[in-house]
Amino acid sequence: MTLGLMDQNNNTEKENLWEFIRAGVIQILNKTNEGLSYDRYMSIYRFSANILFIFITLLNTSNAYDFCNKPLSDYSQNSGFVVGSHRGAHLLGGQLYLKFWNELKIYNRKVLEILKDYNDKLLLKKYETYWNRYTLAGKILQQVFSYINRHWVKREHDEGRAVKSIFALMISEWHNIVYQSIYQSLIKISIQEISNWRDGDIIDYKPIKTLSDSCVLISNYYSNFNEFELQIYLNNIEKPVIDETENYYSQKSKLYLVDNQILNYMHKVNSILEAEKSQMALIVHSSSQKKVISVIEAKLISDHKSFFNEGFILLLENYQVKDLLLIYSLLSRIENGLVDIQKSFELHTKQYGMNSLEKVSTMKDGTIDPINFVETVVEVYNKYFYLTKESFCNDPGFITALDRACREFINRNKIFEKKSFKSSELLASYADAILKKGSKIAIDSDFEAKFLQIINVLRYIDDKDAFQDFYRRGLARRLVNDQSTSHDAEQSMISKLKEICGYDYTNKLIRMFNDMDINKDLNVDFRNLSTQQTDIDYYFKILNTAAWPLSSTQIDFQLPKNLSTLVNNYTDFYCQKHKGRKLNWLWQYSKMDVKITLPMNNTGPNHTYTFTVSTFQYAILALFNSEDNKVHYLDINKITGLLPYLVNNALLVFTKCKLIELVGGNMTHDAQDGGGPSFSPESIFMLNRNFKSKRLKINLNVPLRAEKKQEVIEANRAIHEDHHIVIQAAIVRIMKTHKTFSHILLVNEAISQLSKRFKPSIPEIKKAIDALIDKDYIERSEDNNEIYNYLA
Amino acid sequence: MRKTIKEAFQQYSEPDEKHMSPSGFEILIEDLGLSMETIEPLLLCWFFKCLRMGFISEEEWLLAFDKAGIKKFSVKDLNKQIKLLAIDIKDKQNFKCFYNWLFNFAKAPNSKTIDLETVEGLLSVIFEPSKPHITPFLGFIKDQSHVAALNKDQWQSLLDFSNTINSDFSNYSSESAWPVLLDLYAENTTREKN
Repeated sequence: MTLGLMDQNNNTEKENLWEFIRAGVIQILNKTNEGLSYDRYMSIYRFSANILFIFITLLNTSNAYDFCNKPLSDYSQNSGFVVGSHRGAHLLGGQLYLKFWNELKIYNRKVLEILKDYNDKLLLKKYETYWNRYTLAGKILQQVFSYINRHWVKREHDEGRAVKSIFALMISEWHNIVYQSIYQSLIKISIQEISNWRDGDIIDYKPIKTLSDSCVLISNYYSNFNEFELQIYLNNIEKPVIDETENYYSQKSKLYLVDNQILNYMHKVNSILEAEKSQMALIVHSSSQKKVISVIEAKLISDHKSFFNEGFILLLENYQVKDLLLIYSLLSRIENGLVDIQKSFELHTKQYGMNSLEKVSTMKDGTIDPINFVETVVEVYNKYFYLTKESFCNDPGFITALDRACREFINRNKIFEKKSFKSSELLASYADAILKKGSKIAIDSDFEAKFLQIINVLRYIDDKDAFQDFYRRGLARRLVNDQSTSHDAEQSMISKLKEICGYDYTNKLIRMFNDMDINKDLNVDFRNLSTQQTDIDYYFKILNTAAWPLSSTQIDFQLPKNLSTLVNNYTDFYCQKHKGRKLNWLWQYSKMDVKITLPMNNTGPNHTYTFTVSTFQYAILALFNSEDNKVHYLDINKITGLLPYLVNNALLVFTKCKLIELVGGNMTHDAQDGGGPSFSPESIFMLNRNFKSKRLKINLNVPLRAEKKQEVIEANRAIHEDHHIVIQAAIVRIMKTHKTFSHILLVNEAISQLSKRFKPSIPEIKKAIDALIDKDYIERSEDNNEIYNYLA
Repeated sequence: MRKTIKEAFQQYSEPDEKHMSPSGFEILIEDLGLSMETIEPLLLCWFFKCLRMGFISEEEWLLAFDKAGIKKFSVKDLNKQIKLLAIDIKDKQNFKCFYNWLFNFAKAPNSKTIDLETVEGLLSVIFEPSKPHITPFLGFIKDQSHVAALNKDQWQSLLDFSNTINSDFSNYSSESAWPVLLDLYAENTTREKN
């Protein structure tokens, strides 16, 4: 090809030039799919280089600019390539474009003719072949005519005329001539193919994908590549596919449900969803995959939600961890799918907890066994916590449901209705049982695990402050009676409590330990200073009233002489060290070992027995140190100052173990003073001089059931009074900030402020409000009885 | 010859005292032709805005007549004022003012409560027997050994309770702002019914 071909004013030459180009175009259109050999590639390359060369030459000629600027309509009015006569003819972009356009129409009509001879799967296949060939050719032609695209098309665009690029023109013609005539048949065939695949056939999915891709490309060119406007694709491909999917699965789901087996159905649905997901990725545009899947989900899951919900309960009852995971993953696919099963989970856990707790064993005295109680709670919690992890993927909704269920069954259970027990108290008893010497349930190694369990249960307990009170009493008892297993274990538990109960609380506990340490030094000092010799071994414990939950009750108690001297010495010693401090001796918490050698009348081998007794018991026992070893009932009270019930209880213990014998008067069994038997006022007691026992160490310091109960009642009353004050304080605080506040908001605010310590009941809050109105801290508004005003 | 307002007061008050005592008050009621067993004596006290039951100070006496625009004392005029007040308290808001005033009026000086006997006397005079909750409430508190008197809040809330809560308690909620005593009453009554 030489420049000579385009001599000026030579029409024939120009026709020849077009013929040359046309031959190249046709060759590219028809043969590209045969693969590009080096020769073919070179010939195309040369061809496009030549066309480029022609254009450059044209543009360098004067006036070429004007011609290029002319609107498309001007070119089309001219029959030839020659425009403007004064400078001669120029081969112009616009005319070449029109020629090419015309050629495309001819080509596409031919393709349509060929395709019309086919039908069914073969048509789809042929469409694929021709489309692939056409688009490949398109890419080459886009390159070949890049000059037209870059200059002429661009200029037309700048002038505001919608002229398509070469490739866009090709897509547009394919759409107008080929695609529009046959797409309906094509999509029908495709859908049939998809249906066949769903029924289990193996299909060739590539032609469907090609159809889908061609449609996406056409849509792109029509929407100027706006990703979100695949209108043609959405209408022509996506909608029919989705409609068919919906139709297919709404019919099939009934079939799958025939045997009414949740497990079979779930596995079926799961495998369908997995298969569809991978298959749809091979067939439709990525934007449609999710939609198709969600239609399947709607038909197979949402439409049968109640079936799933019922199945869930069944699986939960049988504790099928893996199957629950499957049902969870299926229901989590649909909107609000989990709400119902979360409720079922909560209800089931709560019920299971309630039922388990009803089976908790009771102790000999009819109280609930705290160890069994806590272990049961922990077991229930662990069982369902495991499910939230393994079956429900730590879904926060299920964790909340578990929390709610636990809070319910731990705090409000039938066993508490029957017996006046509370979880807080039982949990504290459990902690005490672990930390007490001789504990059977904790070996050193798993202290930590047990503590963590306590903390875990404590989180759910409404009246945390009641637990705190009971725990503190337990600790006080352990320390006073030297019953604490290990100092380290106690400290470790306290540090764990800090997180929930706060620093103020644990600080009090720590101060209790400090007191015990100080006492060690004090006792050593006292011994060193002490000049008097005494045959009594002793250890004094001085406890700070502010830190210890213990209070003295027996004020008139008279110590036996031998003890009182010692105690007075110690009191003097202490008060000299700490001027201004007052000591109140808590005799009810003191105890001692008393040695008695029996029998006394040297009639046989004798033994020295050691009795562990309370100070009160000792005071009574000391009275028998007389010549005849006899004591009158009424004298006991007179000399010791002990209240009758304490005297009675002590004597009951002594007579039961036969250390003391009733020698005059009698024992009555009427229910008084705690329900046990009691002695008539004229009773006379005597030491059993022939006492015998296999054991040499005998503990008589056993609290009676009534005493234990008394302690619980006292603790509960203290907690209750404390609540009343704390609620009032909270209400005053709230009202001070708000000045005027409605009843409902006030109640809610009070609950939320106090919930960390305990959960106040509405009657409790209302009582506090009443009290505050009475004390003129707040008043009810004149106009609205649901509103309170703060009175400064 | 009609008496001046001041002369009339002296007729009923204690000699050399600036107030009328219960015995003088009773004579006044008699002169007016009223019965102590009705609401009218209370309305008369309301007319004088008395601070204490059975006592009318000279200041209260003069001020009340002055406000009513009565220049000379007459039984007829005073009775007319009582009739006007009786109509006045048919309005709910006015009744509430009267009712709330009654509490301070009826309580013993320096006390924050009115004893049950007075409560019962007042309630039976100011309310029709058919007024919801009043009679059952009285019956309830008489059975409560720990309730000896009503405080201001309980007194005032009782009227609201009677006005708003249906006789069958259908619109009652224990979570509303009623004082605990009214909650106890509601709880007790509904439990007995069931």
